Amino acid sequence: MAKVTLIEALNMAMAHELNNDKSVVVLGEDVGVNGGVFRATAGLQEQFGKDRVIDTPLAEALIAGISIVMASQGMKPVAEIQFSGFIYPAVDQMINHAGRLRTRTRGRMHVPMVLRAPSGGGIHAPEHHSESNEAMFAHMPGIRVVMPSSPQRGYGLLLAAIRDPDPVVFLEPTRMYRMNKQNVEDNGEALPLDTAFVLKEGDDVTLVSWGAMIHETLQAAKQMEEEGISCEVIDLATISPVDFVSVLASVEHSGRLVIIHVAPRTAGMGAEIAAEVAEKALFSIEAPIQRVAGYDTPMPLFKLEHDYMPSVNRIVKAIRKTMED
Amino acid sequence: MPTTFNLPDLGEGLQEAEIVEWKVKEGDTVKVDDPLVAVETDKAVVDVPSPYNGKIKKLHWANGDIVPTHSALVDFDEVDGAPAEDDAEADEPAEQPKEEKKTKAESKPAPKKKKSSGGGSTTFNLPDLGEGLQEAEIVEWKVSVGDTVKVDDPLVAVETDKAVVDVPSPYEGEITALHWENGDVVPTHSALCDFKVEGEASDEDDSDEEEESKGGDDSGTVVGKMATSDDELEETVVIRKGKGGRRERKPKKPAASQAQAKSFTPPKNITHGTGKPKASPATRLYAKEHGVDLTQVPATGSKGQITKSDVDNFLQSGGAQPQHQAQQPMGGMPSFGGGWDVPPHAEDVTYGPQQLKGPRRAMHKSMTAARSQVMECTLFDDADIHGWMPGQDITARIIRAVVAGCRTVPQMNAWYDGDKMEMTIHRHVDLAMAVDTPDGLIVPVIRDADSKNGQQLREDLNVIKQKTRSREVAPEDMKNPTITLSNFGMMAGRYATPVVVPPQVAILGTGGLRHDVVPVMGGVETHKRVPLSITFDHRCLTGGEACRWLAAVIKDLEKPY
Repeated sequence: MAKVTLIEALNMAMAHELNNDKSVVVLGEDVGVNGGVFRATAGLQEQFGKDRVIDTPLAEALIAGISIVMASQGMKPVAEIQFSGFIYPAVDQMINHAGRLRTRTRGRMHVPMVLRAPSGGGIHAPEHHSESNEAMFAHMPGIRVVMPSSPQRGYGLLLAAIRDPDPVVFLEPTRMYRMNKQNVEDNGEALPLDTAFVLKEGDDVTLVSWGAMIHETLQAAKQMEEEGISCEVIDLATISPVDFVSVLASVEHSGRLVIIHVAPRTAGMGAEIAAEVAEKALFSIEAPIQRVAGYDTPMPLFKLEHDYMPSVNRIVKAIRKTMED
Repeated sequence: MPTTFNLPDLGEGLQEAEIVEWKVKEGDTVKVDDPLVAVETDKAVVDVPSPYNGKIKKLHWANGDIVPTHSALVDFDEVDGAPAEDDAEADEPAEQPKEEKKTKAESKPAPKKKKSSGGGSTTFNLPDLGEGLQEAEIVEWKVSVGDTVKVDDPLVAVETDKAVVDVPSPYEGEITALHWENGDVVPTHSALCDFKVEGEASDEDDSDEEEESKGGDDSGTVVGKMATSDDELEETVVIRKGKGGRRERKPKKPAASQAQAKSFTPPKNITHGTGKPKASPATRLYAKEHGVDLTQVPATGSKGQITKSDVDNFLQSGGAQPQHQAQQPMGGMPSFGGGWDVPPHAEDVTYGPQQLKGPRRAMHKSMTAARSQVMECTLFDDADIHGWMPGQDITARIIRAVVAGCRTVPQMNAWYDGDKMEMTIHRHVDLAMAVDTPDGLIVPVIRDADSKNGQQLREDLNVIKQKTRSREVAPEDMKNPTITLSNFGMMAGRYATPVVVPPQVAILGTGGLRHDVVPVMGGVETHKRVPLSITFDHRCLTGGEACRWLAAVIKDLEKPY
């Protein structure tokens, strides 16, 4: 067992599956010789060869397009988009083909591909390098959207995403790539998709978050705990489809809900979760649902980035607000 | 009759097809639907069936030839019998006689080989067989329940507007159910048959091979500044999905700082599934405004939630626990034999003669005084509160209405000394509230009711309620009211002739809120109304004053908020 960072855990998962399943290939810009801009694929081309770890041109539409073709013909491509802000040329391929080939062919073809991309801000990167576009993909039928928030979940969920028979957009919280380490056993055991993970059990308020905001959310929960307010923290992990079983069970228990995400507030996943909870658990809600989110602006350059990102303080304020009613 | 059969359009505007193999030779006699030739398009290899009964005269192409769509394929020497199918897409060579230009083309491309993507059972729906057809008729099942089929094995022959086609199996597995019978007409996309699909063999062995992590440092600008730490992340992760979602409520830990958690009160009695009362946000607000603790309110909602009327009923019942309903006999009407349910004797009553005590003695004195002194006259009316905004505190509203009445006719808020024929009109309203208790009537006073807002009145009322229940009302709390309110409606009674206690000159009785049928322009509606009964001392007050006072009360009470 090795103590590894999230980025190392993702590398482990890809190496494991390249070794385990001959139909797995890794492709993307600089994934081969360079080992990936964040080093997610470091060493993989050396180990598995140029046929299986493929450097592509700077053309995201091509990366997604050839992945779809390979996947529909029996391979399992794991494609990397260098930054989520450059994913948009690939969106046409994802929405028009990846997400609907199974439907279009009435089940004769399916697309077992993974589109990996770093996601989210907080790393002082230039424009286009800090996008949080999970809600956009969640809105596309036929595509799973997964976001890990720890090395263990990075490893287990990426394995599950590669093995999944349908396309998975795998968004990796860049800020967490090297934030801490965790013991990850390279045993090839995947974690379930479409399942939320309860990171902390509590009674008074449910905090739902995902990706890098889990870090702030857990800190806020700890702070509230010291003040006598018991928070339950749920890592959504699979953004689409959402595990509403876990979310509703928690909200029905606590009666209060705060949703935290770094993506812009309007039409973010927080809106979807709040709507579903209002529909299914209205009579259990004891206070208005709160969303702590990024603002409806592009992610600002790094001087203002700190103001944009939901802080522990903003989360704590929202929790206190739900406790007032 | 000799005729030529042209290569039909095999679908999706393909321009040509390759002859893979002729299934007939010149001189053969064929029937309708007999395969003539296998051709390969961009999409698939398909058999072209014969549209005619007849004898093959000439094959225009050899195996391996590329044939343009609509060019002559086969000449028939003798053709008899009309083809079974009318085909809108029929190939129509100009020289063909009209009655013979019918063909059948199988336009369904054969599906590509596909491995099932997971284990378990699955339902195969009738696919769209082309061109937006809405339904197809089952001609013949080619499989039965229990059969094991491979991908592309024909499952069923179906007939659409266009053709009879075999539907191939998309899965490998065992047929567990056929949803239709021969002759049934099946809507497109409805369930056709069920499969037990063999799961993909899990060949994911645990690999012992350790991958050496190659995570080097990288400080290029585009990757930004990333927090890096060797700190170990410690987590306890619970997966709740698939375990029914629900969980037991753990006992709440005492709050470390009450100041921060002051607004969170753990439920007093656990009456619902999750341990907390269910109610809509509007009901929660309503209950909060009325000082009602939802954990005490019995729920009647469809999902076990407390409704607004539950809160109303709770308030009407004096906020007490609900009385046990008398049991109705089961199954049919009560008869004079069984089910004649007379309540038992109350246990805490002393039967037989006894001296009055405490409040009852006071009542005797005040009522006797009233009887000997006051000339009582009572006036009845109703206030229509249909237009009330949600969340109105009924008792506070009635008090405000009394105050409004006394501002309009101050003479009603007065004392009268009959011996001296002297009337004292009061500037402020000290309102006596008649509260029913087991010991008798207790009438505490809300001082300066005219200078208090709804919230202050509610606080006073809550204090009164609590003090009368615990019998802590001090004598000075009951002294010198200027007017009295008797809110008897929460039990029973619509109108009454409440008795004025001298030296006061008026008392207002309010009956229970009820829905009345109210004529409105264009029809009738049901409105909630408050029955009002005002008794006044006619020695010092005129009927007109009482009427104007009551009109002002009604006007204020009917305001939306």
